[in-house]
Amino acid sequence: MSREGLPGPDAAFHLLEEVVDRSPADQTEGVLVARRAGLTRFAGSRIHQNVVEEDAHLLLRVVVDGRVAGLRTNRLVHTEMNQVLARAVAIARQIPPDPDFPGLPAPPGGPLVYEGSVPATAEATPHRRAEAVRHFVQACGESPAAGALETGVFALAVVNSRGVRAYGRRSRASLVAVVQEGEGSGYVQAIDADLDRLDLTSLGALAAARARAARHPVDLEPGTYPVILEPPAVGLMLAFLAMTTFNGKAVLEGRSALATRLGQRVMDPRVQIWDDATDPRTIGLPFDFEGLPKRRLDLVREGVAVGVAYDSRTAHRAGVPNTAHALPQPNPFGPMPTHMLMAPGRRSLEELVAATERGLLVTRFHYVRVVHPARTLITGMTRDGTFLVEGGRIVRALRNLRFNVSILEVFAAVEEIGANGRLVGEELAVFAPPVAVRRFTFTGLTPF
Amino acid sequence: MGDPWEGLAERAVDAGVAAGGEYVEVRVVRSQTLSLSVKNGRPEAVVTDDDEGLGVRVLMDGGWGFACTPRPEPEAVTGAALQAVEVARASRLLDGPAVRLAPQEPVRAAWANPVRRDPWEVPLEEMLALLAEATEAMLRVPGVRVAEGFMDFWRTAKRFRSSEGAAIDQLITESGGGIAAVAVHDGEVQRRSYPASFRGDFGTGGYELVEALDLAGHAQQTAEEAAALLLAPPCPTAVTTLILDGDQTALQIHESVGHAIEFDRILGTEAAYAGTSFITPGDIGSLRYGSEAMHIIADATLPGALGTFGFDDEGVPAQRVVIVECGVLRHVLTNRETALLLGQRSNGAARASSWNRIPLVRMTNVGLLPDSGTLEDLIADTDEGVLMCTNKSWSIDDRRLNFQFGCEIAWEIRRGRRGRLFKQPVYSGITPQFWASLDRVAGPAEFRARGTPNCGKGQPAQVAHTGHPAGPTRFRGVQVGSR
Repeated sequence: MSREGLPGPDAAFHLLEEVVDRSPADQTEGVLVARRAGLTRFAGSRIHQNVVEEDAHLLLRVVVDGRVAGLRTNRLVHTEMNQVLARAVAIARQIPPDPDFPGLPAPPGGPLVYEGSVPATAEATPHRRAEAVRHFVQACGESPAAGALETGVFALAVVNSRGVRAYGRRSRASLVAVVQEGEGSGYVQAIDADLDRLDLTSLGALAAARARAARHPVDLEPGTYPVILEPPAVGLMLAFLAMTTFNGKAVLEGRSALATRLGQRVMDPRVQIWDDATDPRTIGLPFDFEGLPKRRLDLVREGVAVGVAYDSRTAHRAGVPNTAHALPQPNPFGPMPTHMLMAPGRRSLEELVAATERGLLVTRFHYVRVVHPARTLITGMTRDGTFLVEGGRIVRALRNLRFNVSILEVFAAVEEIGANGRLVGEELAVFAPPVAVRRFTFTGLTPF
Repeated sequence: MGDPWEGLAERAVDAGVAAGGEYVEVRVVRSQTLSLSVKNGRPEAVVTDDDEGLGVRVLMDGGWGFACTPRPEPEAVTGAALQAVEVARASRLLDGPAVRLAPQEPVRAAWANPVRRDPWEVPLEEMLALLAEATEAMLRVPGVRVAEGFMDFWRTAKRFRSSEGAAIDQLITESGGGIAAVAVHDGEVQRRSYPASFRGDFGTGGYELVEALDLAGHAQQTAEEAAALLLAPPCPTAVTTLILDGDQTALQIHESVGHAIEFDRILGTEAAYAGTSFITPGDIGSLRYGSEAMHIIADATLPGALGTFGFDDEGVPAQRVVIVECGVLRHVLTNRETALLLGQRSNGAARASSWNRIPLVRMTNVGLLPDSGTLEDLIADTDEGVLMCTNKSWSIDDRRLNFQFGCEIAWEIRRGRRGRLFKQPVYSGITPQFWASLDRVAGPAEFRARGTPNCGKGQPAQVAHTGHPAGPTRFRGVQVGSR
């Protein structure tokens, strides 16, 4: 174990190589996932939850006569590894062969080792987090604040019996917070590999200012309006495309909107979307859960759908190259891009507002769900800051509205893409700019 | 093999107390999961999971601290206890009211739900053959392109020890499954599931729960309905009478009642994440939630339901709590910390998803009380309206007021009979207005507890298993349409 409490590359490779070497299976893949994190949660401007955790688990994929089984365990201390392997093999023998399984992937090169951990973030103490939260809360003044500050470090190692060796470690600090001001609320979110780069005082002041701007909301008749979407709203739509549309398995099964539209223009020509775990604007590891190196994958180029994500199994089925987007194996979900970026434009958010004669400014969405995946239809609510823009100025706050839109149609109706993209999202972080669109359909409001 | 955790929970409690913890609770959780996914007759993912660890929660000087370890070693659990104390100390860096707990007599007990057929004793070949039979049958129906079958099993051993003297051991076994057919034609995609969407239906019990579902016996109808939906017109837009089947009624309860009555959410502790509630503390005891026909209970003692246990994760015995009586909100879900703010004792709704998570206020089995009649009686009693079945999408605002729910399938109702099939049905409403329009609830014959194994809440994220006693219901004057 390193000083950060997680196994380094030598220890991880040693453990996994021992597992793979001992395995009686035809092929074996060992994946070590280790995490150490702390989270300080606050509401009403006091800390109400404060937790630290550490865990490490082994994911085994064994192949016996074309039969594939997966086994996950975190019993790494007191468990005899031969017994674990024997159990995995016994399970595999009870499963019919998988004709779509092409075998474990071979290494395209030598071992991969990546270090992206900032020690001060990986080792941040509860006291350090609480101090940071105090700075945030103090900057909010009298307005009650709620949120969570999380710091931690994550390590992933993959070894398989065909020679794949990959190890990566990265740190992450994130803040999500909402400040309340009467009926209004202001939202901020920040993610970085380095806690010191999160300016908690500035973020607190920003959240409080946003809350003040939102404190006297009025109703707006539902309808179709021009809308300026801030990065959290854009990022969430991109995340849903990742899961349902850029998923190679969904394409193979005809469930993706791109099943019949790959190669066609599906968005405005100014839209560029790609996945790149090595881009410094995201926080990623440069290989997937099969240990294969990641590289840039273009998804939408000049508005044309040009790519989707594959892992070894779905790439084999589709007869296309593997793009190295495997999630933990085996799984019924399929592959997906997990480090997406959308190319920003030139004008700032303020300039997008100034260019809007009448429309809405939306901070973020809440509880978005897919209504029809093949049509990329989603529904959800606006939250924590919805504003009416008239004559190029924000003129009043609005109560939250329900929307029903097709993501592809929203991105086809782009008025302008803004500058100053940033990393947003909670479960799936995406680099997204603000986007102004000509048409966005709201179907309901909460009139009290 | 012996129990590697023997004596370690007690050791962690002692270490936490010795370090200054005023209240210390320890949970050792050892869980096993078996998950089977079959597609078009062939296994797609067969995965097992063994997970275990120990979590220590300490209350000190009015602040909470939590730490955990997966290592069954004396020094590791002592270290976790000391770290929890350090975290609790840091919690008091911000001013605020000190945490106090409602009193609770320490219980020393053991509890396990009944299991007739242990899923871990059932040969995998038998399970996979059942799913293969069901999916192959669905695939034979013209138009069906993807046929899926699922089974999931969880076995969780929990050991709870506290500095107040509680010593509780529980073993909870949960089982379930389902099937789904995806029909695709000319860019149209329709999905139909049985007995519920999102991997099926689940409860506390063994493999007998899967056998009772008769997945193979329902394959043909499920697939035929998916194929029929390809040709069906969209559900027309209207304000009309809406009948929900039991599955969708369960989802409606979960989203618009179950989450809204979590007292921590009402107090704002989820404000930045899952959201708050339209209910205020002053509403408890008087808020008109719905019509006189609305009677909601939260019953953690219900045999076989997915939210059933012997004791919650603060050592409070499982209880049956009246939530809504004749449409009036009587109680909300509490833990020991929040109950004290109401001058009450906890009603036993503190639940943690695993050893490395703290207990939050979570649903148990939140559901309706049955009234009378069957689904067919409700249809026969309806002159004009729509019947919607099986949840497809769900969205509700951060105060649990404005919702839009989509279903897999709908039928027109005319003069008391089912008419045309509709695809893509959705309905929307505002929670108290919607529940005020409830005018009929079916009887016990069609009531059962539906299991939701994917209820998310909290940071770090937790997934809870909840149950929802529900049957067919009828609502008047609802906005329906199609998406």
